[in-house]
Amino acid sequence: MSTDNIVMQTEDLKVSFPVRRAGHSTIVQAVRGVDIKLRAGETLGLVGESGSGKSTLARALMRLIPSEGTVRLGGRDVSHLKASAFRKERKRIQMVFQDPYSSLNPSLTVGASIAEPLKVHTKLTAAERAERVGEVLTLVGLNADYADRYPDEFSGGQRQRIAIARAIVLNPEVLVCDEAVSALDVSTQNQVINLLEELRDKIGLSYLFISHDLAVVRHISDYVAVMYLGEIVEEGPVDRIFEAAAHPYTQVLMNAVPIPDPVAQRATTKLLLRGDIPDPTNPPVGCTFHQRCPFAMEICGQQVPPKVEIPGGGIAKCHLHTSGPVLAGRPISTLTESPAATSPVPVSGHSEFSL
Amino acid sequence: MTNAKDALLSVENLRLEIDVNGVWTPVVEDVSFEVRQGETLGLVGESGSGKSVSAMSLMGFMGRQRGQRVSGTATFQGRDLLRLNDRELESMRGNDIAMVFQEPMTSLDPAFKVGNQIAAGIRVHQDVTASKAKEMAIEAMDKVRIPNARVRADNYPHEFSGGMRQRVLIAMAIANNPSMLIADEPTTALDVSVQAQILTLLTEMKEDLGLAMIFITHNMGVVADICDRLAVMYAGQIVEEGDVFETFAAPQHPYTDRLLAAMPRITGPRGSLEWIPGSPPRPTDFSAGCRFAPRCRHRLESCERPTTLLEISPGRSNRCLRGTTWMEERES
Repeated sequence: MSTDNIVMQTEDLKVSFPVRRAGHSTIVQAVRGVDIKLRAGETLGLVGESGSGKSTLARALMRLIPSEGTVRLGGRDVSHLKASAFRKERKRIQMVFQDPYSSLNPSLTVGASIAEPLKVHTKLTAAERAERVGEVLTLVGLNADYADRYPDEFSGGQRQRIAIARAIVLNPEVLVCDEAVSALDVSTQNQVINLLEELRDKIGLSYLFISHDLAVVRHISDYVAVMYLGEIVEEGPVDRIFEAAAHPYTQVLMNAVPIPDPVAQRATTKLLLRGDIPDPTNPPVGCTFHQRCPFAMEICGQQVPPKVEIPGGGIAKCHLHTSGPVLAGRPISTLTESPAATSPVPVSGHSEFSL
Repeated sequence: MTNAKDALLSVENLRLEIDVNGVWTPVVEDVSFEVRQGETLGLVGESGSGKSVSAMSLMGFMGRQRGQRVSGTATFQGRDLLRLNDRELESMRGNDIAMVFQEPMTSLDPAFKVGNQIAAGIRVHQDVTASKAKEMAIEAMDKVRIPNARVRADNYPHEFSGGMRQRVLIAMAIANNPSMLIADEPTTALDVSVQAQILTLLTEMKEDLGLAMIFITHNMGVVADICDRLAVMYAGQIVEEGDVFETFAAPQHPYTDRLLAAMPRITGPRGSLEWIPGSPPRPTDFSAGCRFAPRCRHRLESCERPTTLLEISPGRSNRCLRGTTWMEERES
């Protein structure tokens, strides 16, 4: 775990928005103190449901919205840079969005769209820019003379390749992919994922790969972070997360992914979540997941769970993995016969739907 | 294609054509399938494969306006859906066959309380008083496990989460006791955890109410979860049809085989993801021969011949001109 090859890192990153609820304004904390590390040449998968704060986190990293806390790019704290100074750093981190139909300007040729960042950030001549555009188009598996065409001549998958070409034209170190393959059909999606993996090796990119699709995240990621209500509730190496998820929220998410095999899928006992994601303006006391957790204990509604290291790598914020409440300096679990459960078993049948 | 007598819905040679610059272009062609009482048929395919268009044609939402034409038959309880007049169509929708769409927000009117919207749908089909309809609406909301249905009936759509809105739509769909539900990607816009809740609810509805269902989806995992049979569509045609367990165990059309192989999974080896070269043809480029052939690794010259969906074993049909002989060339 050396720190020298970390290309991006956040420390206690927070984002809050003012919102109006029932006539009076209040503050919603969309990102509540996130620490993530992205190592060179690796992919960090960020999963969570809508409303978990994963896209807000991405926007904060890109400085598209204001945040508190620290963001380091290549070891340098960029969070306190003035806008003008940050502009120089911006080319280190680029982003690819979900919708390939709205992320390209329909009135510009593909080449003009891709060349735009070069105009802003470099002093290249028009001829040099055209050459670079041809280079990146080839890199993403497209024909270099597509530069003269317009976006409406391309399919969704090709447009996403164009969006990737534009994102890598400045040779960034980090590419943030926010649901970048979610709108594509499975075959096209897989081609784009394979392309991302190829580029990672060829030009040494690192990815923050944000997706609600756990199966896709499993395929592309080295390390996975699971977000719930603005916090990372579990993180770890991809194999540990998928083989031995420690946090009940991660377990529920994985259980919910339908397996494309009717025998296996119907043999799975479903773990259904109760209710909806809580109101972020008024997050629950204790563990923010406790009201929906199939394994909630009394302590979960009282104390915020600490970060606990999980065997096999990573951490989980969950009381099931702590030794429980402390009494007179000793964990209560050591005073009783039964130790706190460390590997929760699924409840049988379906949990109830309720709000 | 057997047991015509038990079929609740029997679709034969459904064809929908669209006028493209003066040329009638088939978007859906030679589509035949059956849905039995209480059975769920998955209509699977990529975007543009014609799965939604087929359903919209059955419901009379497509094929009746200028620039579109529909042919074939769709026999539902002795009547041909494609030949109903406007009044019969209006009465059929909701009463006999109800539909649930992908977007739970746009399918509800934001200006009306959800209870009243469900009640309005009931009064279109049943001669009941407003207060009786409201009671029935609350009952339907209760059936789809919306907590505090009586209170929630007076809420507006924006006061519901995405999953709860989808429940409201399902309540609306079952309020008139239809015998069949067409669900068009009803869980695609939802988070996986909410998708699991809605799939569980639909499975319970199908068991409790004996509902037959056509479930349109692009997700093979969802098919594996909820469907009894599936029909795989490609470029406007069904390429394979059969029992879910048999088809997943041994797909008989190379397209189904590739589609299944391409599904990213949360278990098993984590190698690079499979994909199918090329992209599906546009309706204006549909050929008379096998439409998947240009992308198929098992194609022969003879694959240019016209195709038909052939029943190859009881309950299983395949459009591949090579039958299942391509399987011998399958790489491990």
